[in-house]
Amino acid sequence: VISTGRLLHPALRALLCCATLPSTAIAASLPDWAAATAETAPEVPPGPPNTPSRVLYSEVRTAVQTDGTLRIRRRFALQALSVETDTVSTGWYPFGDTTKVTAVRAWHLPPHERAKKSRSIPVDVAVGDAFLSGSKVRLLEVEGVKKGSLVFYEFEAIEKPYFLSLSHLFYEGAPVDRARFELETPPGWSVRSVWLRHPGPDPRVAGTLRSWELRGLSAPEEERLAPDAADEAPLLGINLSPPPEIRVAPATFSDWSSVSRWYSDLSRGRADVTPAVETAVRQAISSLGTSPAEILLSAGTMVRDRVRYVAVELGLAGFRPRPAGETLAKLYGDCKDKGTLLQAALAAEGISSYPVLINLGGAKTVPQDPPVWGFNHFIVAAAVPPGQNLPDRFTSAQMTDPDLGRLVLIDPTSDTTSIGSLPAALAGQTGLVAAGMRGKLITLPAGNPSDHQLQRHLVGRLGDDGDLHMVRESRFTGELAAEVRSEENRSSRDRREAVEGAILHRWPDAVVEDYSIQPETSDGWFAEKLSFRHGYSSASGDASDSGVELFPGAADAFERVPLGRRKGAVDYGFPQLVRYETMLEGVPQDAALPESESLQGNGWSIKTYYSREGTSLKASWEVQLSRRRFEATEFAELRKFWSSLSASAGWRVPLSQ
Amino acid sequence: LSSAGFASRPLSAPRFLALGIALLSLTANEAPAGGKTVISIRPGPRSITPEERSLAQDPSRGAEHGFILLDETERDESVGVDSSLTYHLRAKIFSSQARKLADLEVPYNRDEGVLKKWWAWTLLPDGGVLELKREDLKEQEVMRSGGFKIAVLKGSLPGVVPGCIIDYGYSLTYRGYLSTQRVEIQQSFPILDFRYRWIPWEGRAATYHVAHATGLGVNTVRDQRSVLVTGKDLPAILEEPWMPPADEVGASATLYYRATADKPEEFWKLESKRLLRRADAFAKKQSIEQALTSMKISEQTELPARLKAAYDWLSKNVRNRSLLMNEEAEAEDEDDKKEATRRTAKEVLEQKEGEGRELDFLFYGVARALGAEANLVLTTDRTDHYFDPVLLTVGQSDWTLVAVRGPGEPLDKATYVDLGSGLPYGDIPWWVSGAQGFLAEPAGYQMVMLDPSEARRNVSEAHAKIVFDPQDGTAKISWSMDGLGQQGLSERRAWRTLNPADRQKRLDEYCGATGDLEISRAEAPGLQDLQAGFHVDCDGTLLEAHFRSDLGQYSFRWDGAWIESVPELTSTSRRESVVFNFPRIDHTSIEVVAPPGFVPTALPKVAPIESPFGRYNLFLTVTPEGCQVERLFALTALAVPAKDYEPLRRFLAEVHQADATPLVFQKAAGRP
Repeated sequence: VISTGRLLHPALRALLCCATLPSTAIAASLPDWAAATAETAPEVPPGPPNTPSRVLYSEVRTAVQTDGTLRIRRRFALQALSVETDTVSTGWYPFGDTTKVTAVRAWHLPPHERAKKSRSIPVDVAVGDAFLSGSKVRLLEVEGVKKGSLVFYEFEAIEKPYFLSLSHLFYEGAPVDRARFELETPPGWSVRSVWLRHPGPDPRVAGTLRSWELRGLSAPEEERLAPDAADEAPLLGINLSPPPEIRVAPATFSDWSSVSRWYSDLSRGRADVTPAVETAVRQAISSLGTSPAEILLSAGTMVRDRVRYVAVELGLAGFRPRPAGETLAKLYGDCKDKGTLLQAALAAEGISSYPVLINLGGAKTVPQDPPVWGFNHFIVAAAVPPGQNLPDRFTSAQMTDPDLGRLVLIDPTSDTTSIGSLPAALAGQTGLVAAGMRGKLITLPAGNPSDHQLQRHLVGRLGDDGDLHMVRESRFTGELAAEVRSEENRSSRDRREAVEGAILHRWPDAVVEDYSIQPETSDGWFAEKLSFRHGYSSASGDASDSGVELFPGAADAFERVPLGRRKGAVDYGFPQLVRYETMLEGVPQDAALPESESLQGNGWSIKTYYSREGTSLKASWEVQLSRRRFEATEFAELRKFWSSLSASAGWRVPLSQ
Repeated sequence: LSSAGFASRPLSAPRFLALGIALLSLTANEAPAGGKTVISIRPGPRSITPEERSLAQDPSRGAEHGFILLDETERDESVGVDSSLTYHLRAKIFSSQARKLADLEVPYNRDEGVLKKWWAWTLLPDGGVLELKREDLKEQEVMRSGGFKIAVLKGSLPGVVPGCIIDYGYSLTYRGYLSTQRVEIQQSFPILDFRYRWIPWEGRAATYHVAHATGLGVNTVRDQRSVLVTGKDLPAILEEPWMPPADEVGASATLYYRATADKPEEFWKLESKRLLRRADAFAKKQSIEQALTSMKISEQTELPARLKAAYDWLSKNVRNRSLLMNEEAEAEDEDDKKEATRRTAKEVLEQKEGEGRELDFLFYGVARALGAEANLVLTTDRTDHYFDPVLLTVGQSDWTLVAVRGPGEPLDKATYVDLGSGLPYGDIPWWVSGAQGFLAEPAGYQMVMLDPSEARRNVSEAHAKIVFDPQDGTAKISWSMDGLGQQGLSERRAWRTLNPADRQKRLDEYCGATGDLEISRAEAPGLQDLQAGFHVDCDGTLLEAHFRSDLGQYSFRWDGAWIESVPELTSTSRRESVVFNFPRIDHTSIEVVAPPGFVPTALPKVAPIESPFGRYNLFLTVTPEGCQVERLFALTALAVPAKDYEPLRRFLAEVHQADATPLVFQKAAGRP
């Protein structure tokens, strides 16, 4: 029995009431832009959605004032597609210490109800990884959001930028129906724009107003071995200049050389050599020597290891490095502080160098033209004196520029990267050499497989105890070394247990007898040595009658992911080379051996080699992956690569004492 | 100030306690009242002492990156309006990882207090001293809303290098008092000397509680208005697999104010009464009796059978709104959600649905109406924290159960149930079992141990068939998994909440999707029925089987996603207990069809593996089609103390080794 009261439930009454109201009336209290969006909002699809919300409209309007100040207005309209409404019920606006948020508004249009303006109090929260920074986000909550709700947010801010360069990322972390960036400039201003990562439309121009619009941006999808969706999203870069007769407070960049000059002026004197810097470098190089290579190595290692990373990004300090002497005295600093100290240290020993401003992380943020600021990191390009040959450890970080000559790139902030290696997150990136008038864009070396290597050497024999005794020496370089160093730095105990755990996972009866590491060899590698034994005659997978696996674990060197339903690219992050060399004693004369072979495909190759002398077997397996990425259309090639890995690495031989 | 002393009734001692699960909270050694608590916090010496200089790295003890030499705090809230905090830390730095200790953050808001004292310096190995001055500290606003803000002062100590000592401290005032503080006595660094003094506001009842300090050099001294917790030579907390939750390892102190000054006994008695009052108000006699009429339970049957029948009827006829399928939740409109808060059993029964606790209250009423003694039990998700009766707050509980038994029967005969959980009568979710619960009684309460279900109630049955394809070297794999009791319970509950796309991804993963195994079908057909148990069907192709007809012999590993994973313990040492999810039995049956033209070689006989923690059997037999693998794995232990770690590790290693036994096929006689 349903009571009358239940029939007149408030929600039902509201539904009946709203059924008589035209949608225009429901949205009557909305501002025009929101009402227009509400008018055309699509129905919420029935059933469970794949994303909890969608962005119906996203707009950023930047009005440049005659003094270079920016008046910014951000509007966005969200539609709750799910009963999980967290992503809809809070609006946000990120800002820094050059920005003042002047207005925050939100409206909520629940399904079949009237729109209401939010009365919530905004909250500012500090964000970011920096130890100390002015980065914040202003949050505004909207109450009562439910499935089908439309929520409209509007933020207004005034920014006094340090330079007139804008970047707008068309990315909301959700599917977007319509996204727009609008730019209004005073008459006579120059506006140069460029699309990065994806081609985009030319702006629509109406007087002094330009607008760029994209539609139908799909929902990001998180997958293993995939780049961050935001790093692949369309990015619009804009360069602004006032007419020549107008002077504005922010810097303006006509070309990359002017960006270089701006930065050089800003950091002038910061890399000056002080007596303390001279003393510190002398002490650092005393154990190695005074050749250019030794100076690069000593100074780079000194800054990398002695100066701890502490980011203080307040105001202009976010761009201007501290004086090298101060960083040395305090022994802490961020990337530009560390890099500037390295420059001073190199200068103290007669090696000139340049700051390189760059974007860390692999995303393309810097166009060739016009100049648009897309940097978040600072490394150093050291000039190699003419006629000097550098050892092999420097090969991957070297490049030659027609104007600047031979350069070695050093990132002293990466405390797991050997001096002479280039972090994979920087490979192939476009950076700005800040060298005053001579400043220019350079493209860092993209890297090749030999820059990131794992070399594993195994020696095995059957002992008198019937066990298989193995000694495994592994050497890592490049990004592969950085990964294991990072683990080692966090906890040497955990690293050792992880390595031993992997051995026990493969051979559950294994006994690890010895373990040692060398975090950084003289040639910049990470070296690890492991001795262990395990039963040969027992019924373990490896030690069956089928024999001893020649390259244990080799086929797993490259992570694999399901491809059947995958739409996005598989990205290994960097090219790499993996090489196993195995020497076994006690291989019977009549034991069959495979033929040495060479396999190759598009961007990869595998070589195996086997030789026998008496009962000694020497085998090697080498894989070179020269590409880092396989698009979805290339998955057949990727499968071929994986299949070849397994097939070539799976050979076994019997052993006897 | 009241101490953490607790005079509850003695606990029953279930069998698995003998295995040493450290689920009881522990109070520290407590000195007699009236002991001195006064400490004097002042800067440490401005030079490295010989003892400090001699301290060296010891990764095995967690002293790889540094030592905290002294960590001392005094929090004086005695005035109630304005309080003071004095803090001092002295540490030795060994590595760059420990240098983060030199990035200082002071919880100071200049709008609400005064920074009265500050010192911070780095003592260099060569005898030099570098100072971080007060004026070098920068304020960072962490949060601001309206006129309220949270701010901290930040600064970095200069010149920090391996081998140096850092020493810093401050004294500041702040407005009001902190209602609850959790103090980590043990941390990720070893601590040589720890002191924490709390002087609470006398205007409110204050309580402290020290946990997990047994066997450590932790001592507590209190007087009428303050408490001092000290610790000496405290080892670092180490991360270990299958360890108790983070909150339950490492010594900690909880300092808090309570609404009343009741003694613990009184506090819990009052909470017990409140809980029962709510349940009684919910489960009114008339509506319960109407429900019983609907159930048509024969009065001739024994009470346990009637209770089970009622449980089964309610499970079938009343939906648990706390565990809706994603499709159900998304199909509801706002009116459904508004009506989700029901006040009485009558409403639940009329609407045929209720939230988790409403269902517990309902069964509590039904059981009593059937003539049983019924009690409500508050407990926790033990993967997060344990119920601690010494911590006087009911807020620690996040789960409710019902204990039922015959009239006059002792409590150890009680059956614990969780209506709406999807588990059969007599089972409770594994994450609340093996831990203490608070059992409410009309005149008081009891702390009870909630036994884990026996392994035989948690059985998984997997059936797989593997067929090789000589054309492309792959193998087709079809398998299904059924789970009883706790088996698959977590997965079912998690999958139900996911949208279909995300659920399919999880199902693919469960079925073993990797680059080597492409899953073409992954289904959980009974997922919408919470009572239906666990069932998954999978089909896939093993891409890297690498069978070729020209091989003379072919070796194949039969393990995979169709075998419930066996815990892997590889470290040779252990500090904490090992705590598994639940005792269980896994039965796997695999039919491996021999590759065309091949026959199995003589299959090895694998000896049974027996241990106090479980057992394992593997039978490999030749069949007309190829091979049959029958595998039985029983994990009967729930919690294993660190002293028994090595035999447990060996047992699991032997199981892993047996699971690696390959099947070997050779070319059939007469085949080319």
